[in-house]
Parts: sequence; C-alpha cells; structure tokens
Amino acid sequence: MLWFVLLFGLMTLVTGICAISVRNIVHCALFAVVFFFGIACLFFTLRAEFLAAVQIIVYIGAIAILILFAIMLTHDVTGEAAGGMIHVGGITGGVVAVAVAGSIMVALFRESLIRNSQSLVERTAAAPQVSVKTIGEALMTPYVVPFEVVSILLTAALVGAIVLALEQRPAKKEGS
Amino acid sequence: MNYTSLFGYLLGEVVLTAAAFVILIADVMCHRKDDVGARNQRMAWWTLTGLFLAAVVYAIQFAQGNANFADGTLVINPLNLFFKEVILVITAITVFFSMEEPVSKHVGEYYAMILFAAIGMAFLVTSENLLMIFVSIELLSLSLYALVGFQKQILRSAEGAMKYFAFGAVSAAFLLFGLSYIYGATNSLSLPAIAETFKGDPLMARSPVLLIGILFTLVGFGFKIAVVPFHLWAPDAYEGAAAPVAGFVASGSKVASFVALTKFLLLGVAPAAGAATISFPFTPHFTPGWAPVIALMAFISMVWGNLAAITQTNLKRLLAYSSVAHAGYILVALFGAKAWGQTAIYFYIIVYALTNLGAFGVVTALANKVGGDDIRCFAGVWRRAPGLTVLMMIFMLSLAGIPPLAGFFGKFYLFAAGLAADQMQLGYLWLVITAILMSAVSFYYYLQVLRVFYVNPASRGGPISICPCQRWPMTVIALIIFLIGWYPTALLDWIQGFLQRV
Repeated sequence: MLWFVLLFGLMTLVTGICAISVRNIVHCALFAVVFFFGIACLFFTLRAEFLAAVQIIVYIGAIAILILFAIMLTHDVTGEAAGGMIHVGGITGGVVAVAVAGSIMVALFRESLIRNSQSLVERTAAAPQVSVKTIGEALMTPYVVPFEVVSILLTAALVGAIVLALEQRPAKKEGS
Repeated sequence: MNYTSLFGYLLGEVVLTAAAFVILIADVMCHRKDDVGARNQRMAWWTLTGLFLAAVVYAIQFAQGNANFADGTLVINPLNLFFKEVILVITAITVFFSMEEPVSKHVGEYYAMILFAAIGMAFLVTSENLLMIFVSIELLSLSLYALVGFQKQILRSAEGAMKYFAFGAVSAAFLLFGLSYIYGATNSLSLPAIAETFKGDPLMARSPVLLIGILFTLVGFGFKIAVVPFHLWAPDAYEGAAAPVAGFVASGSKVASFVALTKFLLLGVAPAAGAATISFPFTPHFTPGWAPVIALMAFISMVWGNLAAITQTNLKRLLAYSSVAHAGYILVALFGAKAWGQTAIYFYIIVYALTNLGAFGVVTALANKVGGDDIRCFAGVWRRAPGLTVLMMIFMLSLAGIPPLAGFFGKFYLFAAGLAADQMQLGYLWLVITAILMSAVSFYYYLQVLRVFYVNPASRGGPISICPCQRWPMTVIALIIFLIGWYPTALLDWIQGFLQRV
C-alpha cells in the first residue's frame, strides 16, 4: 500500500508541476486531468472510495472538460507567447515551497518522536470507515449550516464570475 | 436536530440571502429600462430594507438567549449578535456611500455581492467551528474579490482584484491545510472541544503537528487582516477598488476576521500560546506557540505599515498602509487575553472600523469632484467643502489616536492590555514601546493629509455639494467617535457585559 501511495503521490506531484509550467495551454489542461486522476487514486489508497469517485466524476468528467471547452472558445489563447516560467519569482517561490514542505516533514517527524508509535497507531485506527450514508448524514445533520453556506458561496462565485467575464458592450446599447 | 429551530436561528442570514436574490431578480425584471443612476438608488434602498429587516431579527434574537448548534457551527450569544449588528451597520453605511454614483452598470449584482459578503461576515463572527470559519471566510473573500474588480473599465481595478485573488487563493490553501492539521491533531472541529483536548493531553500544547497547523492557519488569517508579510495585496486592492468597496474591505472584513481570529486563538488554542517575552535586563524568552508568531507579525506590521505609509502619495494607499499598522496594534492586545485583552480588541476593532469607513467615505464623496484620489488632488479642499474637511479631521485625528477621540482610548486599552499580559516581568513591554513609538510616527502622515486638506493652496472650483446619503452617515460616524471618546466606558461596559453572558 505504501508503494501505491508513493507512486500516486509522485504522479500527482509531477503532473501538477507540469500543468502549471508547460507552455501549451491544451497540454496544461491534459496534465491537469492526470493530476486530478492522481488525487482520486490517493483517495482510493486512503479508502475514501466515494470521494475518489466524486473526484473523477466532478473534476475529470466536468471541470477538466469545461476547461478544454473554455480554451477552445477563447480566441488566440495557446500560451505559446507566455514568458518563461523560470525567473527570480519562480526561484524564490521554489525556496519557500521547499521550506514549507521541510517544516511539515520536521513537524511530523518530531511528532512521532514525542508520542510513542503506539498512540499514533491508535489514533489513526480510530478513523471510521466512511460510507456514502455517513457522508450524507453528516452533511444534513451536524454540518448542514456549512453545507448551506457553500451553496451561497457558489452562487456568489457564479454571479461575480459572470460580472467580471461579461464583455463590455458599447455604451449606446445600455438600458435598451 | 430540529430544522425549525435552526431556521429560527438562521433567520437573519436567510433574510439577507433573500434580499440578495430579490435584488438580482428585480434588477433584471423590473428596472431594466431605467437609467443606471435611478436603478442604483432603487437597488440601494432594497439592500437597506434587507439589512434593516435582518437587524430587527438579530435584535429579537438578543432577547431569546444563547444557543449552540451542532458543534459550534452556529453560536448565538449576545456578543456574536452584537457583532452581527455592527456588520450590518457597516454594510448599510457602505450602501449609503455607493448610492450617489453607481460603481458599475451591473447595479443589482453589485448590491447582491455586498450582501453576500455581509452574509459571510455574519457567519464568520457567529461560528466557533473550524469548518464553518473556513467556509465563511471563503464566502466573504470571493465576494470581495469580485467587488474589487467591479470597475471593469479601470485597469488598476482589475490589477487590484487579480492580486487580491492570487494572494487570497494561496492563503486560503494555507488556511485549509492548517485547519486540517489542527483537526488531525485534536480530532475535533469546534473551538471549545479543541480547548478541551489540551486538558486531557499534556503533550498537546507542544505537539509539532498542532503548532504547524496553527502557523498555517495564521498565514490565512494574516492575509485577511493584512499584516506584514501577508499585506502585499492591500495597497493595490484598496487603490483599485471603488472607494466605498475599499472602505468595506477595510472595515467590515477586518471586523469579522479579527473576531474570528481572536476566538480561534483565545477560545480554541489558547494553551498552545507559548511566549515571546523580553524581560528587563534583556533576557528574551521564547517558547514555541502562536505568541512568537503573533509578536513578530505585530512588530513588523507596526514598523513597516507606518514607515511605508509616510511615502505614499495616494490617499487610499496611505489608508491601506495605516490599516496594516493598526492590525499590528490590535495583535499586541492578544497577549493580554487573561486580563482584558479581548475587550480591548473588540472595542478597538469597532472604533477603528467606523473611523476607517468614515475616512473612505470622505474619499468617496470628494475623489471624483477633485479629480482623483491622490493626496495632492485634495489640496485646499477646506474652502470647497468645509463640513467634510472637519469630518476628515475627526477621522484622521482619531486614527492617529489623539484624545478625546475614540481612537485614543482604543489604543490606550490595547497597549494597557499588552502591558498587563505579563504583569510581573513586563515581558511584552518591547511590543508596547514599539507600538507607542510607531503611533508617534503615524501622527506625521495623518497630519500631513490634514495639512494638504487645510493649508495647501486651493485648487480652482466652487463649493462641492455632497449628497445627503454620504453626508449624514459620515456625520453620524463622527458623532459616534466623538461620543465614545468622551464616554468610552459605555461601549466598554457593553462589550464586557456581552463577554460575561457568552
């Protein structure tokens, strides 16, 4: 199992980096598809089958396709003209990313030193077997308020996105 | 689990959401033929009606007593209701400010987004649950990104919105990651339950996984309250946004985020504070926890915010850097939580939000008529709009912290709480001294603004007429600041009373 986690993790990482650094924007979108699939595989290894399925249906089935459609419908966007990704900002960002990842690893390592491994195993084993029913009940009973707020959030995002993306029409059409 | 009672508790937010949808639909269905100015005023009144109804609902809930729904996702108590009312007032004033001139021709969407942001703020101050805090911060942030970018014909508006969004996305990732680590370490989402885990587990306060979770969470909150080094979006977003929106970002969003941050740190992870004291014969003492991080952020924010504000030539950018500095002052009081730091923070955040809103109101009322929001554009405005300049003087002097205005007492309580944090050793004296020195520096640029308003040779042009929808809210704010300044214990007693009834 550990090897699967490592393999899928590596796959996710590499395709994620490719998705933001490759010049051709269609290739970016295709890398993003593999990236989403890698995440779904990681969910599988964590035994969250429902989440994995949703990840595939929503992200690969809907969002990735939408991204491809958006690219197709936008004029002159291939990304070829975009500047190179490696510049000073990229290097600083890389250093920060390594620092963040390093601090997480140090924290996890020290945590396992402080607590004996027995208690860690107990705490991990306490994670329940999650079924669709549990998720549904959790969403509709204790977490119904955040669930509803997410729906307001999506509406707000939709309205905001449309306003920002709407083309400015010539002034004479206004109010007609 | 009772959905009917839940609906009762949520009624205020339901009213706001309904108002947002009514506005969206009414704008398209009924007012399509009207010109933009008339539509703007109608929609503004719709929004104000919604805000008023929600305020009535919250006022009724005051009498009904406390409630805690499902793991702290919804906590009704006098303090939270009070902050919801404050947020409604701030939103209403923002709506009044945008009444005279439409920010964009998408009028209905503009007011709907303002209401969505207000709903996010209301949920943020009322929740004591990590999941809920994250979701409401996202609702608030998304609405504000869009609002900042509403002036599509202006390039710097798009630039400000883009920077705000990019910073916001990264910091939201940090926030969520941090919250997930805290959940992993404590196995609970509600803040009181997290505090409980410290009692049963002596190792918890030193747990590296928990500490790194708190650190990442502070990155997310640091973005929302704009402290150095997470402040870079603030000047550009404030400058790019329409002045009423900038005022809304600087006041409403700050109030909600500070309330949530204070609750998160003092209610949830207080035992993991650690220490960042420097006692008298220079003996620094640092224990890992959030205290060193907060102390560092407060220190750089106060120094950098004030120094950078001096060099600004744009009034909105100056107010942005001054808000960075003020966020630094507020963080100082977090250490005095055991004394009356919480009261001091809540007192100051209200005073600061109102004052800042007033200052942005002056920018709103004048910027178009004097030809821009650069400070030099306001030269000699004293002759053209005397009443407004007097209001600006009150706001600036209150921000600077000159008695007898409310800002002075706010700062006084903050710094006193910082001193009381470590009474025996005065370990946080170093922060308080920095704060006092930097407030002295801030006099320079606040007075510089006033000098331009009053002393500099006047620009040409006759008297500027100010729309009553801007004049009256500003006058009321100035009066409140004045009254709190004369009688600060009134607000202080209120907040303390609410805190006792939590």
